[in-house]
Amino acid sequence: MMNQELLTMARYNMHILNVVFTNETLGYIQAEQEDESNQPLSGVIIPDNDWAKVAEGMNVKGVVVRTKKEFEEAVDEFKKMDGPMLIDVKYTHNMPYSTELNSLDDPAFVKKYEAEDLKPFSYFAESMAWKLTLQPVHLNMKNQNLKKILLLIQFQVLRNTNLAE
Amino acid sequence: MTKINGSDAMLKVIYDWGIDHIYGFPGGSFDSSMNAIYDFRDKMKFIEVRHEEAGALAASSEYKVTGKLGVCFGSAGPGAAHLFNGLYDAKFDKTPMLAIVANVPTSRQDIDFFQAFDEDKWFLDASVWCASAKTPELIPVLTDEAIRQAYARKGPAVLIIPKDYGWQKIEDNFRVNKDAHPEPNYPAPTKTSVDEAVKLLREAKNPTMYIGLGAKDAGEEVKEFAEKFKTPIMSSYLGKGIVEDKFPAYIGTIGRIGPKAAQEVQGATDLVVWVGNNSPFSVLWFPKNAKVIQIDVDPAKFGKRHSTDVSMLADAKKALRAIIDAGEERRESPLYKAAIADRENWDAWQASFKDSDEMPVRPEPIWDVINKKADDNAVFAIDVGNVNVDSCRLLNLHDDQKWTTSGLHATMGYGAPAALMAATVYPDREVWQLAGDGGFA
Repeated sequence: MMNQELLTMARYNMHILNVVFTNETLGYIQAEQEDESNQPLSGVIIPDNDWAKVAEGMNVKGVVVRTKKEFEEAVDEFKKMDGPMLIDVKYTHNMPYSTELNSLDDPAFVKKYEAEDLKPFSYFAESMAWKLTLQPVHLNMKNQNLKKILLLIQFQVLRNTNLAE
Repeated sequence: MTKINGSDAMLKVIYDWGIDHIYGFPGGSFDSSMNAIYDFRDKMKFIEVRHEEAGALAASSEYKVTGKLGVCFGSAGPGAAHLFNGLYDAKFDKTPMLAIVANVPTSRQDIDFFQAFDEDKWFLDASVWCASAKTPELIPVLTDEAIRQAYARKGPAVLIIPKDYGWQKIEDNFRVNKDAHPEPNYPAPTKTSVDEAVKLLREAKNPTMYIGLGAKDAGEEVKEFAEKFKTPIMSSYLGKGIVEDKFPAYIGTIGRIGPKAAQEVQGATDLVVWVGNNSPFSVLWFPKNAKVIQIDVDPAKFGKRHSTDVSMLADAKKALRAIIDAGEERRESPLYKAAIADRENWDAWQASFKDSDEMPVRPEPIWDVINKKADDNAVFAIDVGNVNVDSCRLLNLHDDQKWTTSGLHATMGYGAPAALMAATVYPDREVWQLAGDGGFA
């Protein structure tokens, strides 16, 4: 929202590397709409744009990258030059792993986040021969769908039967 | 006695506070102060931003990274209105800064004049101190007052200068007494509170630590504490970097933006050593019956986010040191061992994607390059959005690296202003702005 400041960086020849992660969405809000309020996505999509071209127009060296190698080369280039540069990384549109839902017992969740190699905390607790006492479930998060709440309660009851002492 | 312009007297005070640059964008009502900026061109660098909000955010970000107050300005009307977002960033993140705002000449005030408005009323809520110069002679006095109040009240001060006062000649006799303001020296904990803390630590089954910005200067003590008492360390997002990310017991930030282990471990502890942390979301975390040893310098924070059993109104460094010295070493708790294993599993999972050739590119390969290439003393100016999730989980902070973001106010658009601040203050360091297309655009 302050991208016009590329002009300032160019004007004072500031050695700044601007990395723009282009995923064409307001990801933080998208994840909230999907995971918390379970509503249709509304108002989060951002049209793609050639940020390298915008930078060049503001007298800042601009590069678009799509791979690790291209990004690495662009960073190396920045390190050799004076003044500012912008790297527009065309980035995954997938959302980061939801630690809030953290439903590793749900195959759909595991598949969505490619989390086959992740283990739930109970696994580590039990491997330390420790029976877990659980945090209270927060049912006050509004708009959780009923299925999720029921699953959580069921999970909680199951776990509570295992409470230490 | 020499005479100088009112606005020159203002800049002289700012300069005598050790400030050698100022961010802003001119307007007609600020002409007298732009003249002073010209007069001071050999002493003070003027960073002409393209939007007053950028100047205000740059000034706010400056204290967060350097511990020194930054200064910005805006002209009457729209220029002043554009400052608000940066002022709220500073106010919410308890950040001293100074904003100078021009007003129309005194002869034109209160008569519906062009770009004229009741600035002192506007800025009352957005600042911790706000005043308009009532005479030209008051300009240097109020400039000094504004800076002292910003530091003391930890927030933005707003100083309003009517255009005509900036031109008027006043006696050049104001002297800044900067050295009269020592570094804060917070108290040591009481013996009773240390004894109570030691007792709780001895009795706990699965103690943990939860640190925030109040532990900023106590990184070494936090680590020593964790090593002696075997407490996994969790932090607020802003507390990232107090302990280097690779430190084994540091399992990261709790909550939506943090990694998995911290979110899980918080729900299984029975004692939290809560150090200088006021994260608003922490009301959702930790079992309600977990005991808390809370260390803070602000009495208003005790019991604010979770019930507290031992309140230590003390300096984080001193309080942790006192508990370390008085307490008995603990063996690794089941929670500690599980937390470390959980974190290792998460780290390995993230690392397994670092050479992924999935298209469009995943976060891990990109952040792997950032971690490998960034200088040991790089400064990261981080915007707001999913970039906070990625930086929180994937940026491996170490050595003398610094970072900043917009914390409680969490405004998008923070990255670019913070980056140009860092390039101004640290011309010899590498500066990275990290922003999503939403925050950047």
